[in-house]
Formats: sequence, structure tokens, C-alpha cells
Amino acid sequence: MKKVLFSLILSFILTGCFNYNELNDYAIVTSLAIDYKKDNYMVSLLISNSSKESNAEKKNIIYSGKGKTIYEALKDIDLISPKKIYLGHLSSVIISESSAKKGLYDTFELLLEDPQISKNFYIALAKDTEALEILKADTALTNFPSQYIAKNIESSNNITGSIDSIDFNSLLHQLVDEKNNPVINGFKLVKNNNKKYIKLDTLGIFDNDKLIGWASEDESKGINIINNKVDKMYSSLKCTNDNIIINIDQLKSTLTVKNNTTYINITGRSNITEKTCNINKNKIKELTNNKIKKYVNKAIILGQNNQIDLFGIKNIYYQKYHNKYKNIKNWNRYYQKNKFSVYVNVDIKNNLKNNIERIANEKNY
Amino acid sequence: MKIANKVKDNIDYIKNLNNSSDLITRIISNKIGYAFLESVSSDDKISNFLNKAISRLENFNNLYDELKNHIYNSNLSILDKLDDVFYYLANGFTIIFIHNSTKAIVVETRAHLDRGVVESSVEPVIRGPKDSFTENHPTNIGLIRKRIKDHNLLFQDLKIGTRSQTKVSIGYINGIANLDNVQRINSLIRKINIDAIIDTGYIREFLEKENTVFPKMISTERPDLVCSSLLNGKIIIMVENSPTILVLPGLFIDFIHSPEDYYQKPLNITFNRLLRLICFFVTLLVPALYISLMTYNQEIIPDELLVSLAAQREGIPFPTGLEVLIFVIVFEILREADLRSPKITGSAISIVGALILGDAAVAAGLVSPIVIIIVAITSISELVFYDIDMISAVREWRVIFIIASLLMGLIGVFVALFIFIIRLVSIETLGIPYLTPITPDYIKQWKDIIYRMPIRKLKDRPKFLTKNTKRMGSNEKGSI
Repeated sequence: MKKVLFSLILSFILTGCFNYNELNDYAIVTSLAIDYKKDNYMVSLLISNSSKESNAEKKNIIYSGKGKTIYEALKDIDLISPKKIYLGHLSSVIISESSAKKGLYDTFELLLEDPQISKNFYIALAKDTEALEILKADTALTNFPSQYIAKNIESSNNITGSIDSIDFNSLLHQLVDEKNNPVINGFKLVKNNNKKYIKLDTLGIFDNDKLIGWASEDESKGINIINNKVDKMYSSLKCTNDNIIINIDQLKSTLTVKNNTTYINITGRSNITEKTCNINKNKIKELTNNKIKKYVNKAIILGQNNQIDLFGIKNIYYQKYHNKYKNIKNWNRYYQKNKFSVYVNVDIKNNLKNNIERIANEKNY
Repeated sequence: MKIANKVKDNIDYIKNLNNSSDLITRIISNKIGYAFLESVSSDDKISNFLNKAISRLENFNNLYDELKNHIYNSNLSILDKLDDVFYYLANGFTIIFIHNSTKAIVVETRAHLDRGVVESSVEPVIRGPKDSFTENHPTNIGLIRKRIKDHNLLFQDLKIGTRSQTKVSIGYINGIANLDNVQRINSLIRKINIDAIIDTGYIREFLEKENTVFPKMISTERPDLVCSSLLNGKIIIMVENSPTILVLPGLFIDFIHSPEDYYQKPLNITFNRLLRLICFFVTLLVPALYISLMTYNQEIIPDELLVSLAAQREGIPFPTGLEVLIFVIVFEILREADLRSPKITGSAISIVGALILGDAAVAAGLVSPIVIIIVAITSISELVFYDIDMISAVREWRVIFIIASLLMGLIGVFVALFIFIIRLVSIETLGIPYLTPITPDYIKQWKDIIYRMPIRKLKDRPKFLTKNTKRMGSNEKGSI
């Protein structure tokens, strides 16, 4: 018993405080931006300033480093930073266009290797700008500004339907699978009242791990609807000369494959929120369905033109028609020839009259 | 030593034994002599019982019988020998010697040297009986007897201590309590060979093996707790001149419970008990968890908290572990000082504690505010328990947890938690495992661990304490 106790106590002490680190010795990184210029990676880190006198301007600090690989660039930053770089609370990674065109595998190697990094941070692209500029954009409205990129991605979801918040984990699965082609949202810089803010833009489409282009807004919506990434969205419809705004929710799409034809079935419910013209409910339903069909068709054409499988149809073949899947040699060609049949059924739940009319009616009661 | 025929010889014998200033002796016309200690006897009683009886005597021939029949005192006995005469004197008896008689009469003339039954200051009650035990042994027995009028309530009296000759009583209810255990306790106490028993704490140490810091018996001043324990089949030990009474066996769950739990609404009490259990783990683990989060496992701190925690740590000269340890010790110093100091200086301590140590230490940059919060919540949670031994036990284990967290972070804390649970489970008191009825599980008792059923549904006594488990017959359902 004494021997057991002794060895127990010894095993405690002999660890020698392995992995001991005080919190204030860390530079807490919340965002990481990767640029690729002239065969060199430039990595920029957005670090939360944890000093006691943190005024609004100094809440974030950005360090940049250069190197042949991302590891080298990070070590370059280590030389600048007075504190140890801590990637455990990384919440977003911004990848520039040039670096994404070179390939995601190269950039993800280190993020995967490092045991400190949790794998659930958001991934976004920088569109028409350097990734570093995204980190430099002005921040407001958040108490914890270094996290605003992640907050922005979370809050923008489910508004227009063109945004797909993708985290590292699910992106990795799509990449490794090789039966899916990932799509990643891009950030754009916008000027608003003389200040630069970031705004989520459309999706960048990938052939395996390389960026090959950008989808337009309609195409992005189509991709997200088919991929079941949108639960809620709003859409504006044109009637005679005014607009009707409808909010669609519970959007759901199912994909089935039969005889070289992919059937896309989309269901959902919608509410009319703004209506300034008089129009029949059935007419609105028809307009809504046509609009969604338009998005979806655009997305399909985009995929066929670029010979990439945006919707995981390859996966369906793999799972259901395995023999056929094995026989297909050139998948991209096959995909191009694949026929699509789209069926949309979105119900209108309410039939609002013109709001002004409604109030007038209420007065009559 | 036999009683001599001459009164004066007997009185001289007593004077030789102890000629202290409070020994009063008197010989009336060489026929009657008496002796008492004025410090423990009441003069009024002696005048009432003895002098009245002597003055009314008519027949002087058979003085012994006359006197024995004429003293108006219910507590009267006869002595054959002079061996334990001083025990009677010290207990407040008056000893009467009669000429030509080999027997002496002993009359109880005790002065009440106690503070009376008052409210307990260490175990306060909101609702329920407010009286508490005192230093007076008969009073203590009376407080129990008036609550349980059953003739099966028995007390075994023992006299322990070669010099103090302290009366120790083992109380139990015949027919409910396990008599083997009573016998075991009796023989253990009987074996105690010590000069004096000052308090129940002495007895306690002779009964407990010192292999754990956790208390194996409940010490209480509350008669209602003692009575409900007796009715559950527990055994009590009372010591003369001590207001604290031991209740055996004391299980872990008894320290989570309070006698008040049965005087309030069941559902509310369930919440209170849950709170006490949470407090137990809070006071045990929070400082250790804080240290491991701050120094080893930063990745599980929520993002928003991380930066503010890091900002608070900025500029603190000590490592987190030392910071916490210092303040845990500082709080213990404050508490100890508050306990020992007279009530008049108590406010000074709270001012020093609250203002100087709390506020100024943060302002001076010696300690981060979050550490003050951690130590405060830890210390407040520990005060939920009324048993001082339980509090001390938890305090010791807390330090072990802190050391484990300093060495290995969260892994260390969990290793220590395993050891803690193994230790807790392996304790036994009177053959009953400490965590009964949680483990080993007595499902029938689970109505009254955290969740308390209404009293009408608590039909059984705990099976592990008694064989006679029937507490009540069938009660008619009905309500107002």
C-alpha cells in the first residue's frame, strides 16, 4: 500500500507541471489571415489586447509575418510578439483569393497539425481584397471586437440565403471525401460613412481544393437551397409595378437520382411580410416558386459549365448505384450530361391584405 | 473504610481527605454531624431539608431511623462505606453521620451551576424547537425524555475518568437500536483509562480510528436532532458538563440533511438539499478548477471570458496557484480570528477583511478580482454545513485538490476526485459504509436523500440502522 501511495505521489510530482502556462503569458489569437504573394505566404494574426488599459482603438493588435510555409510565417510573428502565440481560441480564418487558388491543402496542413487549435473555427475567403485588409476593417457593436468576423458570419446566416457559414471541421470532411466540391463564402470590404466594414458576399466555388471562380448572388442562393444550407430567407417578388416581400422558412430540398436524371424536390412555407399591391394568393405562390426555380437552375448551370459537382450527386451515386459509380471514368463529363428536374412547392401561409387596407378594415368593425 | 461510631472521627476523615476552604462541617451536640461543599451545594436546601428535620425530632433514642424518615428530600440514600464519600460531596450531596450508627445518610442538596436552557448559538433554527442542550446532565436527559415518553428510552450510565469521575451516558431506544452496537460502544467507553473527560470530544477520539478527516459521528446541541436520530435507531453518547451530544453513526448524508428539513414543505426542502449538495462540490472543487483552467486548460474557457480573465491577470506578480492559495489561507485566518476574538472586536475583523484584504489588495495589484470572487464563493459555500468537523474535512481536501491542479491541471483534479471518492466510500462507521444509502444503495431510503417525500410517505426507518423498520401504520388519505 505504501509503495502504491508513494508511486502515486511520485507520478504526480514527476510530471513537472507539464504544459503549465499562465493565461496572461499568451497572445490570444482570434482571427488568422493567409495571403499568398510572390511564392511567399504572409500570415496575419488578429490578437485580442488583454492589457488593463484597453481603449477602443487598441482593443486589437495585428501582427504579420512572412515565410515559405505557414509555419515559417508564424515563427516570424513569434519573434515580434512579446507573448506566446496562442491559437486555442481561433474563431475564424480568412484565406485570400491567391492562396485559395494555390490550393487549400497547403494552407490547412498546419492548422490540422497543431494540437492547440480547435477545429470548429469559421472559414471565409477575401474577395477582391487582401485577407489582411479584412482583419484591418473597422469593428463596432461588439464588446469583444476581435471576434467580430465570426460574429458577422453567425448573424448573417439565414438572411438572404446566399450565405453558407462553413466551419473547418465540415470543410475538411468535404475535402477529404472527394465526392463533394466545397463552397466557401467570401468577405468584401464596403465603405459605409467613411469607415471600412466587412460584408459577406457570394460563394467561391472550388474544384477539389482549388478556387476556380465566384458564384453570383442568385447562383449562391441556388447552391445553398439545394445543399439544404438555408432554413430561412427572404425574397422580393415583382408584381405589376410594386414589390412583395415574402419570408420563406422551413426550406427543405431532397435529391434523388433515377436514370441519369437528378430530381430536386424543394418544399417550404412562407409568409408575406410586405405587400403594397393587390394580387391573388395563388399568383404569389406561383411567383415564389418560379423565383426559387430560377435560383436553382442558375446554380445547376454554373456547376455544369465549370464541370464541378456542387450538390454531392457523386455521393448519391456512390451510395445507391455503386456499380454504376465505379464504371464512370470521367465524372465531370458525366455530370455535365446529367439531366436535372426541379420541382418547387412553397406554400403561402397567410394572405395579408395591404397593411393600410387592413387597418382601414379594422376601423370599420 | 468503614464508618466509625463516633461522629467526630468521620468528620475528621473527610477533613483529612480534603480540607479545602469550601468544605463545611458541623457537629450538633456530638450526636449528629454533617458535611457538604458549599461551592456545589445550596445552603437553602440544607436548611430546608436537614435543619428542619433535626429541629422537629422528638424521639432521640433511635436517631438514625428518625432522621431517615423525617428528611423531606426525594433523593436520599444510605452509605455503608466512606470510600466514595468525596464523589458525593463533589456532586453537591450533604452527608449526615449519626452517633452509634455505621450508616450515613446522603441527601441531595445540589446547587444549579448552569446557564439554563437557552437558544443554541452554533446551530440556529428558523422554524422548530429552539432549546438546546446545556452543561447540566439531568437537564439534557430531561430535554430528550420530554420529547420521547416511551419507556423503551434507556440510558446506560458509566463513570469515566480517574480524577474527573465524569458521568457518561449511552442513550438508545430499546427495540429500535441495534443492541450489539450499544454493547460495543459500552465496552469501548468502559475501557477508557484517562484522568479526566472534559468534553464529548474526548470520548469521540477514543471511539474513532484516525484514518480519515471526515466526521464519523454527528455532534449536536439540538434535542430535536438527537430525538429524531434516536427514533431512527441511532445511539447517542452524552457526557456530563458538555452541551454537545454525539450521535452514532454519522453518515455523509446526515451532514447534508438538517433536522429542520422535516419542519418545512417537502418540495422546498428538496431544493435546499440540492443547494447544499452543490455547495459541497463548489467549496471542494472551485479553486482547483479555476487554477487548472487558468494555467493548463485554457481552451475550455468561453471566448468572451478569456480576454477579461487574461486582462485581470495582467500585472499580478504571483502565479495563479500561489495567488489562490494565499487568499484561501487569508480567509481561513480571518475566520479563525473571528471565531476566537470576543464579539466586541468582531466588527474590526470584518472591516479589515472586507475593505483592506478585498478591495485594497485588488487595487494594489496583488490579486486579481476573480480570485477574490473564487475564494468568496468557496468560503461562503462551506458555511452551509453546520458541522465544524465536516467543514474542516472539506477544507483539507480542497487543499489537496488545489495541489493536484497545480501539478497536472484538470487531469490532476480528476485523479484527485477519484482518490477522494475511493476514500469516502471506504470509510465505515459502526459497520455501515459512509455513503449509505447512496452506495451501497438502499432504494427504499432514496425517498429521503435529496428529494424528500412528504412525511406520511416515509413509512420505514432506514434498514441499515435498525431491524424494526415499521415507523407508522396506514394513514388515511385526506387534506384540507
